[in-house]
Amino acid sequence: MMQVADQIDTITIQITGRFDFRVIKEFQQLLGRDPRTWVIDLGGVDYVDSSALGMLLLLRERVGGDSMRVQLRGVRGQPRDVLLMAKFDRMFKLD
Amino acid sequence: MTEVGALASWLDSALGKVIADVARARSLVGEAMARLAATFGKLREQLAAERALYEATLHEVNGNAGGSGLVGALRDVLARFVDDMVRISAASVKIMIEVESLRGHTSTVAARGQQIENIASKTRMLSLNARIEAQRIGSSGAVFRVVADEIKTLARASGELSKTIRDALAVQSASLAKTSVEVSQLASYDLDHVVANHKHLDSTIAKLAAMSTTSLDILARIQTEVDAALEALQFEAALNQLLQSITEKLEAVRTACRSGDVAQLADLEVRSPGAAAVRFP
Repeated sequence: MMQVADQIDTITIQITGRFDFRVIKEFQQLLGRDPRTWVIDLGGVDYVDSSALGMLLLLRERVGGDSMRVQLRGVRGQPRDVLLMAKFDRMFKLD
Repeated sequence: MTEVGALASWLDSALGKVIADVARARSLVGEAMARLAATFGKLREQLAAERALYEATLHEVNGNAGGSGLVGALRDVLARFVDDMVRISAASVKIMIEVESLRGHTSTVAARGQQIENIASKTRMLSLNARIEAQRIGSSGAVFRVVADEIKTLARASGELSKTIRDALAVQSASLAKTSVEVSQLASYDLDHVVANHKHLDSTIAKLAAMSTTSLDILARIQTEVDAALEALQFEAALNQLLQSITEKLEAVRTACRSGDVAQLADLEVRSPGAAAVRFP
């Protein structure tokens, strides 16, 4: 499930449960936006697959590869293991 | 023969046997020592070969500082696999977004097609009404009837075209839905087992490192022990010297017995250093 909070220059996406292809349509709708900073709150996520990594990469591509403009928050458990294995800590700001 | 003579003869014979036994003992000790030295020497060589093989294997597994060994290769394979999966997923997400966009367009076109069908339907009704009106006004409505027929033909053609477009859109929509499912499957790869393999590899490397340290330590200690054993085997020379000394003393006693000159035995210690002079390693 995906919830979006729109603040000044920042869009916060809060995802809960599984972060996989099921959120692609909501994600697609958000791609048209262009805030200064994206915050992806993964505190409530207990599973990610490769499609989640693909979506995050696409978001990074949309902000011109600026790692400071996409922040991943609350990364823990399985999502943390997967993101670290894919070396996403070098491409995103991981809190 | 006097009793002294008989005793001297027996003593001479006994000394001869003892001297022969000592010589045989020297020979046996020499052979045993040679065999032991050969065995330990071979063991030492095997240990050195074993250690070299072990070190070479470890080098093969762990590689050098650059990590070009088997472990490094496995890490590379896993890393490349993950990179590829992520790239494929990112590309699939892009494709999926395009597919969803196309599906949206298809729905819009389908809605427009429905509008065309409605217009065609209304046009048919209009032509029917026109025909009825032409019929009502008689011969003066003949031209009007022709126009009504043309409108009817146009409405039919429009309806058929609309149906053709609608069917094509249905096929395209089904194809896009199928593509959507296939792309989503391509993008959705469970990475849990890759994470598990990664962790397993790290754990195996740690175990291997601990095991290699212990094993090389054990091999080094065995080598030291073998070296010590080989050094200890060099007591053969000292033993030989001792047996030689014993033999010489026995020969002296035998000669004294034969000559009856017991005084010769008095300087026996002077001529032969005896056991006290022999040094073991």
